[in-house]
Amino acid sequence: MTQPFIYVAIALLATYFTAAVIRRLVQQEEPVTATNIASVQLSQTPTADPTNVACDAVNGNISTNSGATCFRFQNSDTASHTVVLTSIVTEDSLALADLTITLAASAIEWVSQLPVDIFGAQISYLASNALVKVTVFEP
Amino acid sequence: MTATVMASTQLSQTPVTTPVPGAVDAVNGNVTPNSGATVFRLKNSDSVSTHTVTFTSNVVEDSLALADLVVTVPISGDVTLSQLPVDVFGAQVSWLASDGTHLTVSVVEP
Repeated sequence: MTQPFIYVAIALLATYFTAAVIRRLVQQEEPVTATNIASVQLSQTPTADPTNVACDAVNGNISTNSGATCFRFQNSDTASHTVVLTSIVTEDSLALADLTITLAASAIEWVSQLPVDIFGAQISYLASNALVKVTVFEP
Repeated sequence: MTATVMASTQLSQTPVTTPVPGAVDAVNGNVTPNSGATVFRLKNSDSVSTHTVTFTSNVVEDSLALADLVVTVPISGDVTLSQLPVDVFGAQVSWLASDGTHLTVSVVEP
């Protein structure tokens, strides 16, 4: 009488452990997700100057990009740092070089004119240090 | 009286240092190239009073003028605005600050 229950229990345990192993494998293969930094939409209504936010120097950042989007990068460090903005263009299996900008110590610099067909409508960028901060404006 | 030209700082992929807001002409007004995406930063150093900047619309319909855009800059405020359509404000936007002592402005072109 008890044999069917044992089989059922074994089957349930096997299912549980199989699912756990699959879940673990899937988690291991998940790509690292860049941190989204939302842009500040400007309008005719005045917007208070936003506080720059720290870049994710590990996973990178992603922001919406219209091509006219303005990036205000602030280097709050006493050493210079870089920000690499990733191009998405490939031709004949060759990747177009990324745009690397250098921020001098304590510099606040503006960058714009990043075409959507080269950098994408979601632009990815990686600061070399979390002491680099950014505000993204959409005019 | 001729309005004083305030040039915009052209942004590009080459980093540009944050423009320092400059003095306004509160008597004759100012004029600035406008693409519709031009970004205006208005600073008020007055810790007592708000001040205004009036952007002149150039639209007239049936001999009636479209109202100007009046922007109030808060006490000690630092604000940014954009989206001034060329067909409403012109490719050369005229604007008048209410106070030449406390208001400063910078303009960037994305």
